[in-house]
Amino acid sequence: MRWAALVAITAASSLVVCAQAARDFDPHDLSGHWNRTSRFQTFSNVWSGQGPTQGTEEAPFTAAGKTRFEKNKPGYGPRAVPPAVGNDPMGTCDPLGIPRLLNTEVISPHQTMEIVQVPGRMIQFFEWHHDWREVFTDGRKLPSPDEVDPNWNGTSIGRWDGDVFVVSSIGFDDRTWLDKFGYPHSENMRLEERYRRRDRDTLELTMTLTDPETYTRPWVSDTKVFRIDREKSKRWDEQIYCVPTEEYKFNQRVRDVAGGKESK
Amino acid sequence: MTIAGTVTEWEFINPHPQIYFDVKTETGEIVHWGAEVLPTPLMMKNMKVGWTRTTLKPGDQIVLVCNPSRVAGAKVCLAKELKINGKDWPVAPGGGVAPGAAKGKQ
Repeated sequence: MRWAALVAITAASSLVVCAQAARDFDPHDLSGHWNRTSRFQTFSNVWSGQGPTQGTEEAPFTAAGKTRFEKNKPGYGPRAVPPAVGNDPMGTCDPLGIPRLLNTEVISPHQTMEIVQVPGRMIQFFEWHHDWREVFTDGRKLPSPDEVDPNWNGTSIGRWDGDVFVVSSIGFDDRTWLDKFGYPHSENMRLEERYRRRDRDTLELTMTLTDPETYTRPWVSDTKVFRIDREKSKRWDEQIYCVPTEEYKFNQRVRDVAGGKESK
Repeated sequence: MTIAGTVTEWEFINPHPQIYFDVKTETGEIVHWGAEVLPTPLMMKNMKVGWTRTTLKPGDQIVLVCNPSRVAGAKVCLAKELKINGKDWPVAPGGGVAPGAAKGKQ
């Protein structure tokens, strides 16, 4: 009898320990500074031109999407051109927009992403450009597309689906690229982001974009993995801005010269 | 390529810090060059090497190992190694700590 009681107590203690271990983070708390650690800086695991292990997926372009893609001249990837003859919005400090802010430069030291959750909103701060994006969590519905003007970061609402935070967005400005390889999107793109705090230190994000003008089917990203950076909030901010006058000067004095482009 | 010259300007700005310098050719002609280093955030914190806006000043003597542009005749390059007034300064990750870097400086 005493032995049975001891086994029961031990089992109960183990359950408590397990429960505590499981609770060393709150899966509904996404707050903190996050640095992307997964490999692809593109929206998805597309071919990067850097070897057979660097992605294999082909974008499911429509004819119009393919045409737009070919007009975009990136400075990175298999279609890279010298920045002087490219048209990457980043080269002129134009806003990167969503989803590019989530995949291109969310990697230390260029940029971290900080998530702050307040009643009714989740806010993401991006170090590059010192840009931020609001996701409303107050229960409102997304407006219909004809009720919003396109903007750089879209119009977003969020909700919890179990332990997954689901962000739904519309209303994107089509001047932004999906990523540094120049993948395009239209103003009618709809984006779904699914965030899951896998453990105390790790956040996962998978995105699905639906844009029939540009892609023949919903296009799913690779799983972006972010690691928390607890030191970031303790040190002085380095103020990593994209400064138009500095970028212009750099383009004129270095990039244009290196690319054989006559400075204006 | 390796190139030596006299600093005329040091721009510690985004997106890449830039060194401008004069190079004296064998015929005595002065040719103006520019070199970029790694992205500013890398120079500022990842390398933790103490780069600041006063690291270089006009008149400093530098020797650079750098990658030239693919455009023939372009007088710009990407710095890979740097010596300032005879001392080595790291300009690439893993290059160690620069002389004069403050202890614990981010």
